[in-house]
Amino acid sequence: MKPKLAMFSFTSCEGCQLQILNLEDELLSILNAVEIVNFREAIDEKAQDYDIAFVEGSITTPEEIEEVKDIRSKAKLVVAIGACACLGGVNAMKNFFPLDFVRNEVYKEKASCFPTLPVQRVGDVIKVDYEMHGCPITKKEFLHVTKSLLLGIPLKQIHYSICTECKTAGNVCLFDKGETCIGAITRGGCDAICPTFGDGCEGCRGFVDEPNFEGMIQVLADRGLTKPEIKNKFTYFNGLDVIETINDKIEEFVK
Amino acid sequence: MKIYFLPKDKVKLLVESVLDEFQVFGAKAKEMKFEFGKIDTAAELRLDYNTTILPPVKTFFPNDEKILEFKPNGQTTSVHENSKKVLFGVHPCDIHAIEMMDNIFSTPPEDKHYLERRKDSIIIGINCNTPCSDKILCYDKGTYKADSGFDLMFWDNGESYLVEVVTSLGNFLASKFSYFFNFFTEYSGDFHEFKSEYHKRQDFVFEKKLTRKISELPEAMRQSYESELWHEVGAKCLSCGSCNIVCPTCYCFDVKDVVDIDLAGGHRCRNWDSCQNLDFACVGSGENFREKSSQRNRHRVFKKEVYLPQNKGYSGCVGCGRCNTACIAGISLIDIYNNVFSEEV
Ligand code: SF4
Ligand code: SF4
Ligand code: SF4
Ligand code: SF4
Ligand code: SF4
Repeated sequence: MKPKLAMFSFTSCEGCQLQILNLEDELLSILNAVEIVNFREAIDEKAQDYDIAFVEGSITTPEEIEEVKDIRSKAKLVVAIGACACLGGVNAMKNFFPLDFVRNEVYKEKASCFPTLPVQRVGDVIKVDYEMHGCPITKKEFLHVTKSLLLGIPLKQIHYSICTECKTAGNVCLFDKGETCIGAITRGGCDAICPTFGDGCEGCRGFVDEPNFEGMIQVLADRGLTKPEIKNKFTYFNGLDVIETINDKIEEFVK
Repeated sequence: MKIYFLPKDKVKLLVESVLDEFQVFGAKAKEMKFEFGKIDTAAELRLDYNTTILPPVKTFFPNDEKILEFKPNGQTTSVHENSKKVLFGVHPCDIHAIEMMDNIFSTPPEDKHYLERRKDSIIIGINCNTPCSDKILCYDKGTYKADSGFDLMFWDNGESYLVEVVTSLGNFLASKFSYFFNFFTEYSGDFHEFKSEYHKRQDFVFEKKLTRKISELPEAMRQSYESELWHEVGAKCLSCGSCNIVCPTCYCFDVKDVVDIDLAGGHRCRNWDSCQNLDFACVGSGENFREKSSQRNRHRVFKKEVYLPQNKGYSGCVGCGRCNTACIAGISLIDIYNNVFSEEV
């Protein structure tokens, strides 16, 4: 019997699911090996039985907590996909404001009908077997992860930085062009796509393990970035990781 | 050894003719910098470049290189590439680096993938009239000139180049394209004088960056093993890996298997690795032998200036300065070496 694969979406733009749909050529080959039973972007009916669950989006309401727990109880393997699910992502900016303020801004007079919670990563609520990073995920990593899970090959998180990939691509560093970038402490895996096309990395794949925040803050401050600009760099995608410490660190290291 | 005379306005024609017969690799503009890569038109090739982002030696050691194919029945095939290449316009430091990599990859067990790519390649060197930046150590290390490791060497002679031909491959190329070269001189005496004048002019514009002689470095390094210096460097370092990736003498790689989408066959490839990455010295049991950034930084420098001199008799750094330029945290071997020198009692 083919393993059953399911896709679930929580608070997100569903861009990661689209990346999977964009795998036009490979999708047919994948379908030879698996059965896709739940995929909101592609099929209508909802299945209750699956082996591997790919979960997109961050968890932001009481209902979502229940739903994601239900997924965990049914799936053999849960893979969190994308910055929202793995990091909180852009959604995590919500946590920098009082909850009532956010709710009233969004839902206005209907606010009381929509219970809301501070943003959580999928991994904060349930056990996750692998985190596939990125905003959005890359097709390459989705294929690699799917193939590895099907073959039972252990998955290993990428440990090198975006700079490693950027230098390998032979790019002119953005710092040489008077711009800035946090690729040095960001987890690789996207082939440094932003710097390759001339934009600084914003950290959507999360930080490498044991990131040197102090060193990175110092580098950005030396290039003339103000405290709010530095804070924005660190919180764009990674707000949850740094929410408690970033202000103190910036105060300490930026004169 | 033969010396030819080549007017500069003939270089383009020469490059065009070489391009007709060989794959040519050389420096070409990339935004406000230069990259070393495949040359498609003679106009692209720049001999007046300062330095390239990635070094010429990577032509023989490309990233993501497919080294093996495997089939569902267990059959494996080693993959090699061995087209004839001309590397046109390699600076002396990079020539030293290629010589070093030749030695590393030909030390048993031989690395066939590198050696096959390298085998029939012709290296055309070009000397540096002026220092390419203020971040280099080639003058301290003596690598701003090369006596071997090339087939031809271009020497700037104002309106012309003198082309020194030293190997049979060089002779092969020069005689093949003899149409472009006017015979310069049969007298080696003249050329020796030319060379010494050339180097005198270099002495005028190149400067030493180190406070002491490079030969004293390995011992001074050894003394610095427990120094506070490594903690200071470690605190600044972002473990980004850039310094390794751009280095012409870093040869570490990681190997991974890529399975085909049909989950049957696939291939094995190797990717450049960096000893500054957190998990570089992590072994199967999960233990990490260099878990601190200070240890990893110390290792990079010790590998180049202590371990390789000790095991191989040469330094693992040719002083090209690429790592110093690439480091956004401002970590520079020049500062590290001078600090090591000043600390030693
Ligand atoms: S552009 Fe960014 S990712 Fe690329 S080398 Fe520079 S700092 Fe690193
Ligand atoms: S370069 Fe940085 S921001 Fe861009 S996709 Fe990669 S990790 Fe995300
Ligand atoms: S480091 Fe020295 S030898 Fe190398 S390119 Fe620069 S000036 Fe030339
Ligand atoms: S260590 Fe730095 S200066 Fe030395 S060869 Fe490597 S990149 Fe060049
Ligand atoms: S380039 Fe600089 S910051 Fe990056 S790993 Fe090397 S020394 Fe550290």
